[in-house]
Amino acid sequence: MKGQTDLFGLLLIVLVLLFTGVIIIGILARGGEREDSTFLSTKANAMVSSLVKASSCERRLEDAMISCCENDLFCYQNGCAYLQDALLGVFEESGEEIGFSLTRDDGSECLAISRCSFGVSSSGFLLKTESGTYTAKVTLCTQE
Amino acid sequence: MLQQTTFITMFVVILLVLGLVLFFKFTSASIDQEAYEYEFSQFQQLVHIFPSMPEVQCSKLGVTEDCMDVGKLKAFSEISRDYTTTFGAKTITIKEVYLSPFELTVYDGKPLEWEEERIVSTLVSLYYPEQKIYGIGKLEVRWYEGTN
Repeated sequence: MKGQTDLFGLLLIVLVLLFTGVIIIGILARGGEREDSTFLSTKANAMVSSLVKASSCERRLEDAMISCCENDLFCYQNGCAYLQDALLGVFEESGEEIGFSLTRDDGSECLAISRCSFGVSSSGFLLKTESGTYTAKVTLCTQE
Repeated sequence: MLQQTTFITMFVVILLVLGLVLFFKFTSASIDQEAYEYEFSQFQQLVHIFPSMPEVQCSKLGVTEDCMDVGKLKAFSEISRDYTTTFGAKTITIKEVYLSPFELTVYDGKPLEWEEERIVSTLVSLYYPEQKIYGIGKLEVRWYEGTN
């Protein structure tokens, strides 16, 4: 009878150790996800910076973004329409699911290309003009 | 009573041995995993580190800019074999995705055999010094794992 009690005790210890192990592995796995999110955030920042700088119609896409927010023409076209066409072309060629948003400083939207439910966003790239400040952001789509 | 004590002692010894074996296996697997994760993170970071290398980064009068110079990229691709120890079994390609078509294999360390191929990419700013314009390039790094 005593031996059986000892066995149950040992079994309990083994189960507690297994349970602790599972919790530790879970915590380690969560650390990996955090690193992935940092990588995607850096990638999104590089993307928004390259989009803003790109030359277009002897000017830059940055100017097209400003024209879009100020309801101006860019390259003889509606600024937002021109920008949307350019961005969709780039996103298509990149082979990745990418979203884009351009907002005014009062929070109203100039242009939004929403292609994902979940994602990691870049820091806001500020476009400063005399009329106001506009913020461009890129979102990289993720599973969740 | 003696039988029970012997049985319990044997059981405890077996549990200890089993525990030690599992511990060493877990530790060994954990070290392997960490080594792989480090290598994988180095591979992932390459898409962010490569554009900042002075060999390819835009600069004017010593001041660097957040873009890659196409002229430097073309020159680098011709001497990139010297970077085998830095990049290893990888290929680095750049493809224009906005302006006129342009594609270049900057580094080619593709081995004859590999077990798994991993790909990471990002968009980068490309500067064309002859036209003095900026394009958008897709920088793609391929890593060939399990090479001999």
